[in-house]
Amino acid sequence: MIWIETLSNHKEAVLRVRCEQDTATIGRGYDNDAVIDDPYVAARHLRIRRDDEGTLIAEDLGSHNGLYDEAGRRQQSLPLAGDTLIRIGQTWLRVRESSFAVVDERKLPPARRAWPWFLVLLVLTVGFALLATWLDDVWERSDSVSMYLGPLLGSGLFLAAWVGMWAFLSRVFLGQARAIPHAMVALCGVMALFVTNFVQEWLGFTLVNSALTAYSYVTSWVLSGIVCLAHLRLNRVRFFRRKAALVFVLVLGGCLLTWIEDKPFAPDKSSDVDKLYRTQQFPPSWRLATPRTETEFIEKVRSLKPRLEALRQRTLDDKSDAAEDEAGEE
Amino acid sequence: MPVTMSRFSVWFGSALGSLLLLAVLQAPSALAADEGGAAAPRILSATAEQIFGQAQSGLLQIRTLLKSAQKQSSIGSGFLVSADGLAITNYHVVSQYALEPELYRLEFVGADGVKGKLRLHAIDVINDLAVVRLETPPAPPFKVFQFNPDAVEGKLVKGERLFSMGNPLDLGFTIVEGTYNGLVEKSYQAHVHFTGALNPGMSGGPTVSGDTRIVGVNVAHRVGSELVSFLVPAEAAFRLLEKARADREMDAAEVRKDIGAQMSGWQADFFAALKTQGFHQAELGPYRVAESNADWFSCWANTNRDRRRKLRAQVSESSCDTHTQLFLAHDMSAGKVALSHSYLKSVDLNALQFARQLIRAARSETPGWGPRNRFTPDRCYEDFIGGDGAKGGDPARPALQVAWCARAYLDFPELYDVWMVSVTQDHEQEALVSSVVLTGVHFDNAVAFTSDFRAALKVQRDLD
Repeated sequence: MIWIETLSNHKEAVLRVRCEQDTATIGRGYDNDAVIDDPYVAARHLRIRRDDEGTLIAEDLGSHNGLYDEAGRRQQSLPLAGDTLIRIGQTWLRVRESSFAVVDERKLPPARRAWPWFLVLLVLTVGFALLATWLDDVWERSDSVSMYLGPLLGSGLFLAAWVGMWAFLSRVFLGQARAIPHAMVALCGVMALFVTNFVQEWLGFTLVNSALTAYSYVTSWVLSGIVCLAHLRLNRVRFFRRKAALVFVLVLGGCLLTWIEDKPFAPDKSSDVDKLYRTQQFPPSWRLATPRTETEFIEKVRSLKPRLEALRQRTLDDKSDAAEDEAGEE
Repeated sequence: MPVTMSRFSVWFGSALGSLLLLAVLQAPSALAADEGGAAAPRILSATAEQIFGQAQSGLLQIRTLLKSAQKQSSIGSGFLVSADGLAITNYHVVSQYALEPELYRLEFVGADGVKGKLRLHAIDVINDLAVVRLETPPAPPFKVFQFNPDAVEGKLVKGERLFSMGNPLDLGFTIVEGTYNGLVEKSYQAHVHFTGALNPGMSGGPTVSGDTRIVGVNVAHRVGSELVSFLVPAEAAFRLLEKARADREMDAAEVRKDIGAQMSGWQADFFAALKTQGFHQAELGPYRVAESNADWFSCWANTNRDRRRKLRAQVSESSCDTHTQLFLAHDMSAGKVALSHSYLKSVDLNALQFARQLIRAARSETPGWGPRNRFTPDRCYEDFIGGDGAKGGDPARPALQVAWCARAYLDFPELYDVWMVSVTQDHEQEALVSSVVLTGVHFDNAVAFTSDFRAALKVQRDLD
């Protein structure tokens, strides 16, 4: 007894025909053992038979479009192992014997309920978001809750759209939406962003190091990349490594793009004023750096002078070069 | 100074704060339709008529033309002071040509409509004056203005009748009557306070006494005031003319060098004068800051305590400005000294929130620098200083978080714009945010001045 399987483009079985004999014919005509509704398949296209050694063989019966192996080479006949894929017309086929050994059943995951964890995460994230708004709510005491709810609603909608997208992909390719695990990944990502942002701002203040804040976009991009990888992993995508590499390239590209826009320490940067100044202030007790003495500070400030002079000289040289170029063109 | 004026609109707005310099940079868009009533009785000021009659032939309109377009880019006035064709005007009238002679050219138009080229002979950016030479002096006889000896020696009395001439708004030469009101008080720069209607385009025109002798050179009028106008004292013009007679024509490189040297000298004198005048202590909450004794600082205070219904932090600001900005180019000025302090005290903010309030206050103190093509980019240094009372330092000096930034002038070596913002780090619920802005200073002067400024910052808190 053999089974003739028609496969989808994703190589999943969509139809199985059971044949009691070891020979069978396949084609569009109704006198075949397996009838294929593919206009590119001949009326009698293919025969399956067993050779002297007992191997199943697929044979082209002289069709116009022929028989192809998995690599896309046309064949007159092909031996069929249980996993051999063949194509006639636009239809993928697989032939298996009843003795084909299937893999052991997958164990059901232990019944774990994800949603309590999800709720905990949700509460934590909302808490972080409210805390951030509260810390910045320093001007007038706001009477309305809209100041707090507005941003929450906005980012909530964005998160819902993000999770929805991944759940949709998961539903299409995996058959399960897995919305809650996806939502948990997204929430973890958001929390990580909150925390790293806060820590970076604090480090920038306490260590008096503007590089930390100037390059904070790197952390944001990397975190976004990690979140995407987690989503991909959840969806058990094929070629995970290739896709991970793609995410890596995207993160790198994002960083590069922001850097080009930003160029925090590039010599031709127009002004430090809006960048270099540390982005956040913290209470004095949060400071770790030992203050400099007045003398040390003045020394550091004086070191700006040669830098500015060099900068001035370079700008003037560039200008005169440009003027010479212009004169040369004329 | 008008109270409503925003503190930051003047950083690099018109030179001399809210003064409007009287060169016209663009043609007026609309002229008043009413060009005079028909049958008004003829009442003449005999003196004015006589003076204008005498002076007319010595008046010039000075135009700066954009070479590529052959159209005027700015206009002002001037007057002849020697028989061989030397004329005086404002530096700001000729500044475009002085700095970029390859882009602009200078032209005069006499009262008789004769046009000709001008050459630059001497400039004085401190007093906003320039001496130019007419390439072809007008056919004699023409008026050569003399200086009023009393004015040169500063012996005029308030109330003296003065007559100011020029070509306002390119409408034609006019004469305006006004009154001498002495030198402007509380000003580092010597300016004659002239009560009379000076209008854009009259810059560089002469203001004379009844004997048609020069008392001053029209330079600016105060926006939002009535008839409050300013003249450069005759003495400065007299001195520059003496220098110009010996000088020959200047090219752009010499102009830049000259401006750089004049600014260097000026700022050295200014900081020396500031030091001589001394400082006194002022209080802002528990903080003590230094305020200059010099009366040329105009200081303003400001609080939010009367404004906001539900205060989360009280803010009291005090800011002082010398209004000594000198015009260098239409997009560049120097000589400003502005100091400010904001005392913030939390009402119901916690320490973290209060810190965020502080960074906003500190950010609002950063100047919005003007054009970039005349300066290098800023370079800043930020750090914490002091609070080392335990280590033998002055216990009254609070720890500070300081950002110190500078940029260099491309055209003038040794000149820098500098700003510093400091935030005190001695208390979780109150702090002083202070800022200094200095433009057109030598680096060492800026370092010394800001260091003194920090040293004067003290805190005096009663121990609970």
